[in-house]
Amino acid sequence: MTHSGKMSRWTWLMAMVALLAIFAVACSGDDDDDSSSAGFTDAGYKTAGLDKARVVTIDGDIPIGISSALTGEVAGLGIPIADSAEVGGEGITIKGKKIKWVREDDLCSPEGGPAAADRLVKANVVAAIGPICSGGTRASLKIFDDAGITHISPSATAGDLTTPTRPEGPYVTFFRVPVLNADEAKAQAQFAYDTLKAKKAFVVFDTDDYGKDLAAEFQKSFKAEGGEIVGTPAGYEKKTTDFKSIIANIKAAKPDVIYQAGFYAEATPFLQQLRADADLKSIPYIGGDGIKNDELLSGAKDAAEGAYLALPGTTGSQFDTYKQKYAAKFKGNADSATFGAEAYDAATAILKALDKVAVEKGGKLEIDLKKLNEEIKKSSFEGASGKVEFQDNGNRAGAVVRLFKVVGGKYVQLEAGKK
Amino acid sequence: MTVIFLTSAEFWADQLVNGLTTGSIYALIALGYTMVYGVLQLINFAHGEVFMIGSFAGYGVLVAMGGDDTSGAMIALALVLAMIAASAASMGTALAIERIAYRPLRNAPRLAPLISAIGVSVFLSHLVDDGFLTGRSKYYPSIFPDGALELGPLTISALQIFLMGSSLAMMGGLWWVIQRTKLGRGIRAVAESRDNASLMGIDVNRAIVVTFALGAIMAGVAGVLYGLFYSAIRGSMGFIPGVKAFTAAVLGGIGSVQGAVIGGYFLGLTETVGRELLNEIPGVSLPNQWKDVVAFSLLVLVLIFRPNGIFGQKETKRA
Amino acid sequence: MLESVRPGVPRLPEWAHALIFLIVGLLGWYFLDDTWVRMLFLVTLYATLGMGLNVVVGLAGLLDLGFVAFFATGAYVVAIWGAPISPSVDGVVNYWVLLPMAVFAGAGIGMLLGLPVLPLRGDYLAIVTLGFGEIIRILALNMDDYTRGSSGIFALAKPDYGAETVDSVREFFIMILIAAMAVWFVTARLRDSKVGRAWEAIREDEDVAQGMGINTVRYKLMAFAIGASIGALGGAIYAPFVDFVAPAQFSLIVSINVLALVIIGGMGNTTGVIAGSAMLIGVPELLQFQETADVLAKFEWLRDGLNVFIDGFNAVSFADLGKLPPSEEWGDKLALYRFIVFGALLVMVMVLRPSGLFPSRRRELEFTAEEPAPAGSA
Repeated sequence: MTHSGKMSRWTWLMAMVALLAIFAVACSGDDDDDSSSAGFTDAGYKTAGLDKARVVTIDGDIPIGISSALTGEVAGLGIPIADSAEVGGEGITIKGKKIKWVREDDLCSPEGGPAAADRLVKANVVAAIGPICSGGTRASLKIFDDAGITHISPSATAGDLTTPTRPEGPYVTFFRVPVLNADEAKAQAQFAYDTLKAKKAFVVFDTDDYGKDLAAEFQKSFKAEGGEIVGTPAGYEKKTTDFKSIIANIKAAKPDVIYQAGFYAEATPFLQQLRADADLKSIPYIGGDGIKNDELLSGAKDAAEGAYLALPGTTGSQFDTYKQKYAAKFKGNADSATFGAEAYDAATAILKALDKVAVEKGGKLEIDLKKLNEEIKKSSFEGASGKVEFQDNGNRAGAVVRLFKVVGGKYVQLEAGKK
Repeated sequence: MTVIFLTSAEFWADQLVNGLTTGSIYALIALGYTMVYGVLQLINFAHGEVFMIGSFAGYGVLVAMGGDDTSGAMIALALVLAMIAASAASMGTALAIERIAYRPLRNAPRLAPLISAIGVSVFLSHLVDDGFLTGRSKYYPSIFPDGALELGPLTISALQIFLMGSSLAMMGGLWWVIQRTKLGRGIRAVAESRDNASLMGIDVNRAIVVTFALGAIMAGVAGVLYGLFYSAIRGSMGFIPGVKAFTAAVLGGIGSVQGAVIGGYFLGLTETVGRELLNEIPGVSLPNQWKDVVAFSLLVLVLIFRPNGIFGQKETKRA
Repeated sequence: MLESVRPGVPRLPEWAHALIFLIVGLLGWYFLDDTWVRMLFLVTLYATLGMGLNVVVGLAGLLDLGFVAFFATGAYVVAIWGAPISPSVDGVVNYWVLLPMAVFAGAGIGMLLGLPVLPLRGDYLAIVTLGFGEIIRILALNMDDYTRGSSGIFALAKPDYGAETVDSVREFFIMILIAAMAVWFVTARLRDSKVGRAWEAIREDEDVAQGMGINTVRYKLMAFAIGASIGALGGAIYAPFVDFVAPAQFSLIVSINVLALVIIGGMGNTTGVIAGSAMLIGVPELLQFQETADVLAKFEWLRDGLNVFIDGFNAVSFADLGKLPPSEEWGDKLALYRFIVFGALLVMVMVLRPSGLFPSRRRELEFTAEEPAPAGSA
């Protein structure tokens, strides 16, 4: 057996080498063509469960779903989002009926999303807010669509959610309030190049859907501005705490700015380890919106000082109302609830539309889900995150990106062109 | 061929130090795996969680001693107390696990304790994450004084020196206990053969408990060092270092104490220096996210040519 | 503790158990709504995977902690060749061509991994297979040109029959039920054949088996390949069911789940695998159902009683224990704590029934013998 054992070892090794060589040859990086940003189509309306003309009759409170990350790594983001959505319905009744919020945990994951969607559909919600992450949203689009339930995500930002590769075009039951990754990355690239005068950037990213997309968009925009990406962009998975090896690569690449696309849970140790290095104590750092969270300030403390973070969207006229209600109901500070204003606006959009389409009949409410969908599409109001209107494909119309800097342990909004 | 070293000497020095730091942590944790395996032939899957509990106990002490505001001689005191608390907490956890989940299964089918070990691991990590922290992390106070030692291209921070020094000291202490004390002789005898040891009048249960305790002390100290160095701690933190330390123990030859140490450093260096060396080959690009592929491929390669690990005995006695 | 050998009680044959499972499944399919059928699908899927791993662990005695690698292989074969969106392959191959392709690919990958590592014994095999499972996941995560990385592949080709396509939870449940029955039949036949006896000999004592002229590497490789192809079959059915294939679905927890259900069920027999799956996959799912919370809400009196007790305890001991939450919150709490429950369940079942819920007969005899069980699994 020893002889044959040795033989098979070498055979195996050679097979592996041959396989690797085939992979290397086959590896041809063809660029993915950008899908056109077409709007909703008639075919899209036809496939959606809306056309089964579902009119639901409601006796009692009106169930509206919330799909958000209530446990796990992203709960720090997800719970305030869910709370903010509820705040949107605080004190509001539709033709005398109250709102019943149905919360489901989507875990911010591609498995959790559809499972939560399924449970919401089963709970007979008339509309929903969420899911909150791109991966979970992508996997749930069809479930909501089949059921004819319109849902508005406050925070899913991947570009392709509204350009799915199907002949029917975008899912007509899906809308979203946040500004897209591409818009955010562009604003950050311009800030890095024009305002910080950085010519060379090093990119660090979470290998999940959101991080990868945002990092790719930043690289594209930064190069378009005339900048250069130095070193190999370094990826990491969630729960990573050891960034020392990446930091050695950063030092070797000598960038002018470091860009991170990911979440605060990993950005906190990254910043701490980055700032612990004498050579990198003051190199400018720009982080994406997933990082702008109070947990970063309380966790990284001094290491977070001077960090630049972006937050897509703006403060609208309703922000103060939202902030007061949020503080009253959940004892939290709305300033630090990332995507909270968007969630509030998503809830408002649903409630305003509900108010228009709900018909009272003998003490019960009749809601035509198709009309509700059409009303949501026509939304136009001043919300907590600025003016809320939807494009023809479900995206938010009019993108604004705000930039913040951490000064004295607080997020301070930057004026245009200032650093 | 293109130029071999595209990157500077400082870069290699940095990565070398990084490899040795991670390696120290892997080695400390791997010792617990290998010793328990030595006496019980059990993969103690919950050992990563023993490490996690130690890290949280150390965090508690550091915060209670003043957190970020600790200064002067208090820092040294805080660190020593944190390590003692961590070791004690880890030891308590390990002994409780042994009593509840392993001892009733000592004569059960081989895989039963493996599954209960996995059960303990899932239970503890989720108890801390979902039960107590609701998904949030805690961050070690950064109290360790700044400062670094520079030797040519090599820059080692005071914290790194402390980390590597304490782990070496712990390993030295363990070696002394195993080789030079009566307790150690008992452990070695039980590892050799449980039945013979028992015939020779050695209290087998006691030797097993001591083994768990020693492994847990190593893991507890590793937990504090880990927290000081990487800062973020959470319930799931033990999982990846646990799997890596297990890998290191197997690389070195499971059951072998010096094998676990060498395996730990070897794995730490492979992930950093080894991966960067591969990157120097034209056409190869293995950024950070590939490091586990490099680590596990190394494991397979080593085991193909040395089926019992680097220090493993020629043929496993218990086939 | 090990009182389960009851000579007087006649046991149902295994086929009867399979039949009962089939009938229960069909009843569930007929009477329950989609959420429940979704759960039944997952239970059956994991039972199928468990039967595959059972060939490797239970029959041949090889400890495999990386079973997810084969599950992922099957899912990715179906996704890469079956979805228009996959970047490396143009066009879409019919699902019924992809299904056997996936099964063969699984067997191929199984042999590729098996060749170098099968000479290894026991626990070395465990960590190498664990590492291999991780390698497959990281490859899928980072080879965007083939797998689209974490963005995943969606809109897969669905199985079709006649002019219809399988695209509802109910239809997929029937599909996995058929697959489970087929896998049960094949593995049961294999176990009772010459091959099965060779595996058993290897499991009990590899050296003796070799001495008896059994080509151990060949039979071990066979077990590995068969287990792998069943894993791939599961993946190939799971992929169009969730209609989304991404690396996050193929983490180590899948391997652990499958291994745990095989061992909890009682290694080496199918009945146990099904029971293990119902317990480990079904129960955590069930904890998330509103129905569970509704049922629990009926026990509110128990909470009130406990709260009185807590008040009393606080009063005499100066402790400050919080009160139990109102029953409306129980559903959320249960869903939140389901993994804690899962972990505790694993420990409890193992401590109470070390040889599993339904130990296979021959093994049961082994375990109840006076001698401690042989330490080696290989």
